[in-house]
Amino acid sequence: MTPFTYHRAADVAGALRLAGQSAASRYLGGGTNLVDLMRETIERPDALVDVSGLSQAIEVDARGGLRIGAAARNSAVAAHPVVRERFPLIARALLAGASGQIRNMATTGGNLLQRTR
Amino acid sequence: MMANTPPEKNPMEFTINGSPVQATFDPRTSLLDLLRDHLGLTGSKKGCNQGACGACTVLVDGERINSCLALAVQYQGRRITTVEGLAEAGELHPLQRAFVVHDGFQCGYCTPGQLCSAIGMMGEARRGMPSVVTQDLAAPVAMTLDREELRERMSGNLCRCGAYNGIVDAIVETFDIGIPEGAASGSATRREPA
Repeated sequence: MTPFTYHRAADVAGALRLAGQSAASRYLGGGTNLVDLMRETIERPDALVDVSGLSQAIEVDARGGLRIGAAARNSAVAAHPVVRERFPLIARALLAGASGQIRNMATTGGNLLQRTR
Repeated sequence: MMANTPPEKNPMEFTINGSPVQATFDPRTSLLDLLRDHLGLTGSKKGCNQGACGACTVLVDGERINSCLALAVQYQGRRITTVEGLAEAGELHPLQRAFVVHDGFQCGYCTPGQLCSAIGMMGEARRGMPSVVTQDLAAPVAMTLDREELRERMSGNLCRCGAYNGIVDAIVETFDIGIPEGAASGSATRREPA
């Protein structure tokens, strides 16, 4: 694994600022995909900006849509009562993927930023 | 500029099996390597080192994770429990005793991960976490998990010896899981791995 500098972002503005400080930074959620790719030196970031401390909120917005914080864990989203009652396809899709251990680590933000495979 | 700079080390602190641990580590260190190589806690095993086999499963604040995919630096300040921390006052955890009684292992390599995973899994079930075999997602999750559901919930832990029936029996006995009426016993529903 290539050496990197680790930063933990306290908020969104901080995450953007930290990520802008280096040319090859990556955001780090649960690490279930990125850490593996870094170990294989497929990904070689010089800085990791840990965003797992950002919002984990799961809430319905004014238009009836679902708003999920980037740091919300897959397991938390799948277990959320509103997701299960009103957006069951999301819960089912999450529960059909990976394992219990990985669902406890993986985040919504990390899923969206996952490298194409 | 950064490419040739030696990696900086980060001071980290954890609570591991109830004891505070403070040290300075390269941020590339996985939680598994921290436990095994730096702290001598070799109970957690390195199988695939890529999150597929579950041999490295530990509990973080009671939740099961794969420690091989976890950068230790992310878990600072957290309460980590490994297989070495399951026994209390010299007494094996009831699940450990049940694994012995039910032959929940042969070679034992996957056992530390199976134990931690099962304890985390039961916590999930008690908190109402559904699984992919849950019929009605809108209904509360009942504590009558059948063996098929236990297998699904434990599917992140592979056992190359194939001790799955014993593992399921040990979990059923330990956590007093109600098996639904008419459900067949483990041996009767035995299935070959896909």
